[in-house]
Amino acid sequence: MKLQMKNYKVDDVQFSSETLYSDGVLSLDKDALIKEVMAGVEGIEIKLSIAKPGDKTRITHVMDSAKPVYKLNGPTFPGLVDASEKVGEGETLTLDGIAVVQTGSYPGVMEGIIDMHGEGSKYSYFSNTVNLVVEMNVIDEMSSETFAKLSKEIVLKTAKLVALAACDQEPTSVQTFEKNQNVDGLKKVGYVCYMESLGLFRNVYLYGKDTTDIRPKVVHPNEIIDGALVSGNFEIAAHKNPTYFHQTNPIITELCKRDGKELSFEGVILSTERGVLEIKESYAKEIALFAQEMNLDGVIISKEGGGHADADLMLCVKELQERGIDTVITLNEIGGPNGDLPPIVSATPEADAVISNGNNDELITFDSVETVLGGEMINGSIDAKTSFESSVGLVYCSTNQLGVNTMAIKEY
Amino acid sequence: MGAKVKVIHYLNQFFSQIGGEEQAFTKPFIREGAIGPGLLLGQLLGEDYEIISTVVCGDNYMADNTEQAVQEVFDLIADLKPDLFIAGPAFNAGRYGPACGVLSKAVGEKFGIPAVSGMYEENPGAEMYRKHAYIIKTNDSARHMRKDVAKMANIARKLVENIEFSDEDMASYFKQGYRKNLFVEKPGAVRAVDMMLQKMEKKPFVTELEMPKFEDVMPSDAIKEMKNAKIALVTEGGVCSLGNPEGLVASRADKYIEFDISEMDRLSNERFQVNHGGYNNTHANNNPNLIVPLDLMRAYEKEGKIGSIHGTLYSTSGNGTSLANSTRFGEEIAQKLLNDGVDGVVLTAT
Repeated sequence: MKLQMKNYKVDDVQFSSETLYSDGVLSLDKDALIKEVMAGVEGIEIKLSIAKPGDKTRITHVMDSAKPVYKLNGPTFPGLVDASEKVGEGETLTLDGIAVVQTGSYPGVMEGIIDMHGEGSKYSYFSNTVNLVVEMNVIDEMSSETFAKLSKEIVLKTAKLVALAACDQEPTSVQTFEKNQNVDGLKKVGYVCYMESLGLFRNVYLYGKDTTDIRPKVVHPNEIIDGALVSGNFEIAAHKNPTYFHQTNPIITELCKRDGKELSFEGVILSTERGVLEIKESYAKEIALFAQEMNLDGVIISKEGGGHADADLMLCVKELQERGIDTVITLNEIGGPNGDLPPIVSATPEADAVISNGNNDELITFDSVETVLGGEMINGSIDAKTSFESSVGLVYCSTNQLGVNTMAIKEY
Repeated sequence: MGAKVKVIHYLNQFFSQIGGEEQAFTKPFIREGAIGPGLLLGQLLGEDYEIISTVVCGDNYMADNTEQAVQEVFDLIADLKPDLFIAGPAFNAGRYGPACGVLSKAVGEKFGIPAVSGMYEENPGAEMYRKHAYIIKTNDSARHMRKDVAKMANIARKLVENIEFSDEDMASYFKQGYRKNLFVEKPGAVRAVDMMLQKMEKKPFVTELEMPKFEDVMPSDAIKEMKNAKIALVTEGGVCSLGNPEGLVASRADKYIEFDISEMDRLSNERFQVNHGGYNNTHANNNPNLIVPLDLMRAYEKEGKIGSIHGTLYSTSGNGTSLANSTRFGEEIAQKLLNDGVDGVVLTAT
């Protein structure tokens, strides 16, 4: 399976009378874009804004983010925007340096902020991208299920139409994702991607279908980075894995980079985190059996969320290590403001190789801003324009557990 | 530097050379200046520092009368206005280590000054007090005294002079268990692949998180006579009043709330809702009895399967709640239930 990513570098985004991409500048006809995205959509209004690195802007109530992509001769975000057909090969246009950020107020959506300047901007990947902020406002009553699906489609459609602007241009670079066949003598490595799929506002879509009830399954890494996996997780800001990081999954891209050189990247096992112990155990075993079938020497495991997810992760480590398969896990910590409390809620001695992406609970002071996008209040109690103290975990993707950031932790 | 940094040094009966085991019950007393290992310590701290006094106490006296002994040490040094406290090194001496530890903690906290000690890794004092003082890792005996005391002097100086620790400095003492965020060169995903390669090749790697050890909670004995038992309802399912006037947060809860349910047959959705970030709240909002089964418990009560239902419902949202808060909630709620003569609890978790 060969996938070619045609990358277009975006240095700046501006609203204009026409939509086009030229020399790193993306111009967007706002009204036309809204009209096209919202065609046939009822009950929701959207507002588009641009937030650039350095702007004195804070984006609040962030639900999800997506990377603008457009699939040539194939479905973009299959099952949600286009037909639910397999992806992972062919050509895909993608814009670098820009994110489509979904925000708005809706009951049950948990807080998450992106600061474009000041102390808070050190912690989010999206403080360094130019963000096209899609603010949603529900005007007709609708069920939470409808909102979840509809809002998702709006954001993804926006991401598709924005990428389309670059369609007739030469890409800045082209990246090929294809399994290297020349892997003699290299250790076989797999990747287990646990997803927090527990129903409404806390789920992940695979080819447009809610994954809440799927059993562990093997997928090709190209499928994930080509838009098959979409986040529907509107919960804890630092714990969730957004669509953007499924599309650019840093573990997958790093394993692809080293495939055929330092290791042989054998594939991805997707699994959901469960709420019942017996099912957690049975899924962990199932994953280990897949790994054994694939003759893996090592497995990197990532999770989404905390609490329950820790138990799924530890059971999986135990099953794999007992079968002689090496594991490395990547997670974040909830060690309290001073970092002296237990950082996770479940542990197993077999988990001897852990990457920590930081402690969510450490306090930082956020600077005041001039502009707020998404909602005027944070957690219903803090005026979003002001300077305030809160935990680093309030920052969208600050301690992201896929290992996007360079945040780490040191024990004193 | 102007006036010298005033140092108090602590030694046991043996290292202060007042005697052996027969002097182990000696009460705390104070000597002016440095003695024994203090002479070396003073030399290594340098001329900006002065060991103004040495406190001596027998190991058994300190172990048997800790609270009183600590107070006696406070009294001895109260007027001396020390800038730094150094105890030991205690090497692998099993009573001397905890003595150095408890005094380092107590004096450090009482006077708000840096406190440094030194112990061998198997000395029980190291694990007991590493969180509360800088305990340098030493050898198991005094044969490398100079090297060990030099490490203590180094950390002490850096603490007093507010100089940042090097990696080597940090490796020289037992970790205090405070984990702080920092930025490194490589993203987590790249570090994960690096670690994977090292592990598969059986080459050294350092995990970024040692697995924490959790306390086991032993269940209490079974209730023998359920038909006479008073049962309480407690939940971490986020039950709150409609509109959440209590301000119960959906994650990282910092409080629990209580309701009088003595007159209720069930939890009405016109009176209650849930606010919990850990699960889909829709069904529980429609019927809060799914989270707190008051309706079923009332039926059991009527049938005589249980004696009675406790009149107070306790609720919090258990979603990423810190261990410290959870422990406090648990202790407080348990005490209230005990005071009210409750025999058993239906603790619903989500």
